Amino acid sequence: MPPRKKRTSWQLGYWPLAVLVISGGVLLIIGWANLAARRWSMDFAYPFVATPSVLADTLHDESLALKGARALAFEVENLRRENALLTARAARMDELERENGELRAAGGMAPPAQYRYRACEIILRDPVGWNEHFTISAGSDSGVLPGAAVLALVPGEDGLTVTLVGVVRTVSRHSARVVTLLNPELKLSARLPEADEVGFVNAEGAGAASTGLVELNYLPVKGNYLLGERLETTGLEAMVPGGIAMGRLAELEPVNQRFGNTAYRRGFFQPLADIGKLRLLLVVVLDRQSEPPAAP
Amino acid sequence: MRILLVTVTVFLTAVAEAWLGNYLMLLPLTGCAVFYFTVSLGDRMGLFAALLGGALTELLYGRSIWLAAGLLPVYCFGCYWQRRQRTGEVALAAVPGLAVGMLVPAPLYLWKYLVMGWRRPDWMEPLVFIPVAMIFCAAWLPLTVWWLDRCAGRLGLPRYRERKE
Repeated sequence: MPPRKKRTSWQLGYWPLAVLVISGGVLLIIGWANLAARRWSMDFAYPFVATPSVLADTLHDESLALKGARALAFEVENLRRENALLTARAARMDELERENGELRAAGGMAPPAQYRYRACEIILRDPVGWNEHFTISAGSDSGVLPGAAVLALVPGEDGLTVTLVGVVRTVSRHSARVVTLLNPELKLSARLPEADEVGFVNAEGAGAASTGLVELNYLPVKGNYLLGERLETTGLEAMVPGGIAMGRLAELEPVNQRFGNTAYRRGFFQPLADIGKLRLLLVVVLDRQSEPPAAP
Repeated sequence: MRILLVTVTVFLTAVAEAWLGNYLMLLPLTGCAVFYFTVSLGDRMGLFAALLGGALTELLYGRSIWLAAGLLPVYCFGCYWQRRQRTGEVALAAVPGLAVGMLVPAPLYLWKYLVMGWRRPDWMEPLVFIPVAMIFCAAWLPLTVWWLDRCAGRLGLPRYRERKE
């Protein structure tokens, strides 16, 4: 009886399997190393990167001493007036929040996630991607999480309006990298309250960044849209509260209603904030007492 | 000693470049340093400087590209310059400086328009930034050569001006 021929590992199918497993492992390691390098470099470079903004702040603070007593008194008076107005608005918001909580409780709904806002400033911008991404001076030590909304205050019809600027992408201990609405990497849902329709920002990623317009995809064809109408966040994303203004509808691509068979159309909106000129921002931080919001 | 000089110089230029970039100034200081090291210390150290400088600037700025897209063309150009061109006079470094000023930002803009889509690129931005970077590098590279040659001389390392006569 001839001896039984031993089958090779290739014939057994182990070799291709091993290649697959190793390739997957290498890809995983590269991805992890990429993320780790980003975090490490952000932490390591923070003192160097933050130096110009720290110096500018110090200079600004010190320059106050050069102002006269009369000018300072005038500024204090103005700030007091503004403070009183903001306190009144905050009281009104507290009342609405309480009322909303009661209504949700009556309807058997879970209480909404509680957010806080932390002030921060832009410490580093890339001249090649000036409007598309930047680094802020708040990190995980301030409770910032990836996906958190980054907001700015812009002058609106009735005082200051809070508007969405971007979303945190990577977080290190002292800083975080933010991708803005003008970056095709940022994808999120947006609501048009007047048309009562929902679209998706940068969903196709074709981009219109350079003209300062943002792509808005998957708008239902049947919607009655008005150019100039307001866009706001839907609240569907975990760390982006709903109802925050994003911009105004600026363009809509025409659709052949009679012969076309498409169900969606594309539009473009103009962000409310001039992203290239921002310095001071607010970042959404989850309140420690509240439950983390579940992604729908 | 070579690695120490390259690492310290590249790190300082990358941080300085990031500081200037924060004020909307696209000035390729790291590119000039990479060109200098490629010509003076040879291909290997040049490649090391290009990879280190590229990784540092990309990580500092939080860009989404890797492999030093903006600095590898400078490294290749440095290899060519080292073999084919004269490096005797400091002022002559202004000529490769013009090229370095174009080679660093051009791939970055290409990458940006590729990622952002070609739908409506703002051509004015590179048309302003690239010539400014070229003029700046034409002035900066001779200064880099002069200063780093002094450092290299004190450390007993090969100098740019003595590389090829």
